[in-house]
Amino acid sequence: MVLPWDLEEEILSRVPPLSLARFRSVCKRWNGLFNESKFIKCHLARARPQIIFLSKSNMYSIEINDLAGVDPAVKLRDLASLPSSCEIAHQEIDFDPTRTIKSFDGLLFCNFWPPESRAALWSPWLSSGPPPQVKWIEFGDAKFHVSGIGYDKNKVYKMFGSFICLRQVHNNYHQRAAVYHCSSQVFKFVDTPGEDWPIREAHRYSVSLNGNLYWITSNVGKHFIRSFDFSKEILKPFCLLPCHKNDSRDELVLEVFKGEGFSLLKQCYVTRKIEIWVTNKKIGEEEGVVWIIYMTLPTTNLPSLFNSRLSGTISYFFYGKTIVICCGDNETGAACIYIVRSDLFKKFPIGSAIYHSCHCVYAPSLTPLHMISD
Amino acid sequence: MENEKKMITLKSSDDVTFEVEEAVVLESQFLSHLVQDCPAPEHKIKEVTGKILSKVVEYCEKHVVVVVDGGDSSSSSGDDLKKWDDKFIKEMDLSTVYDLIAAANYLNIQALLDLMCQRVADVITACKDHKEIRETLGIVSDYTAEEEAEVLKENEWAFD
Repeated sequence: MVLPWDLEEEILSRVPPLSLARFRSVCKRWNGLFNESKFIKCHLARARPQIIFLSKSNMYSIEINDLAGVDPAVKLRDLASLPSSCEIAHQEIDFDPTRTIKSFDGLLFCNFWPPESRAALWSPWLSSGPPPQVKWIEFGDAKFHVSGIGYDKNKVYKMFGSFICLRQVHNNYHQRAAVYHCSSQVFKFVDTPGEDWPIREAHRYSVSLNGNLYWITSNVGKHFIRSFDFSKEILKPFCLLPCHKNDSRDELVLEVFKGEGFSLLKQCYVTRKIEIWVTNKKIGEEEGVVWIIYMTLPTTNLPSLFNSRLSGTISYFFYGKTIVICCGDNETGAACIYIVRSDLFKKFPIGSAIYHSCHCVYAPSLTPLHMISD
Repeated sequence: MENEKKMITLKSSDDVTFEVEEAVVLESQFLSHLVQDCPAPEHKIKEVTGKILSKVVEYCEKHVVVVVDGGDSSSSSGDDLKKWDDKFIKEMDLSTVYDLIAAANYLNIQALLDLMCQRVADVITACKDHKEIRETLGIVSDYTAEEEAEVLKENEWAFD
């Protein structure tokens, strides 16, 4: 039984990172896959999403087994057992509600300010190295509130965030957006529209795609996606949303879809009906965006996402017509995983009392941390 | 009036013939081009045996895109198809799966290739260590004992 190597790679690109690490000892070719960028990209594109979940003292990955089947189940793994993640998992986190964890091109990104003026970027499923798979970015004395990481056309890595400044004349606080160049360790202020808090949504709700950051914002009742373009270092409106809030408590949640487009979840506050929209093609440079409706869920069993927001983040992904949502239970506030499709509704509490958790959708990947150099 | 369905004959490397509707053939990119470029009634596929071609035909017949007038395909048909796929792969031994992967790749039937590769990937993921993998997939190690021990030690953390 022998397959040509390219077909063997086809198969191995569907095996999760932890199993691939376990099987590096099978033969030299299997071991060498960890250094092949073509394979790593292919593996990332095929990866089944999971939720990475950060609580006060732990970090978990949450996988869903048999997601398309009749009886999906949730599998929690403590990431402290992984060499490159344990460093992050063992951080004593003073759980500020503004803590965020985000996925970025196959890596994970977490900010630690406040109180620590630093952020971490790491590859959770790789061994600790060498080369090291955790990178700490220290901001020294600057109280820089990081929204996310990105890169420009020349693959120069930068971070986008803000400083809270006191306005002398009015004696009130406002937000100033800034970009941080990782290699030169220099901050630059970014011009923003004439708002006091121009990027308040970016910090908690932004997603990363093709090196840029995107988040939902609104202006005079119109909801749209705003982006930070890391090449031009400007904030700009990206596109209008395909649907609007009929009630101010309707919830809109943006995620990256298949690594190349967006998905938008809208929940009606009154009926709790859910609509999912997706962009129909790869998000490119300056082209227009076309949204198509992907699915609707008329069920009312779902929690109110508006109320869930109060206890933390909302993350979701879907596989076929099954949607997985991670958010807080409306009664207890404790985080839960909801698995929903037209004929199925399942709820899994994540621990009994995890409040103020933060989490994100992550495609488990072999992407190494070679990108950010010292 | 309904058009009469066009039939095409496929012949395997060992001369087993299969008469199928044109729509079935169109599931394969390779065969679609072949049928378009060369409108013969019979096509010989030298790279695929009768045993494997019968499986390919069975799969494609089941997966032919059915266009129902004025309706989009219901979700239950998707579920049924998934159940059928599960049963289809469950009955197969690994060597047949390998042959089907090679055939699906050659005939360019992406959905069949995905299904079969995922099946082997699941078998691999379920293995507990490198020895079980080598035994299951018939892989011969090219490590020296020292090298193997070293790689094992470096990746000790990945074992449960």
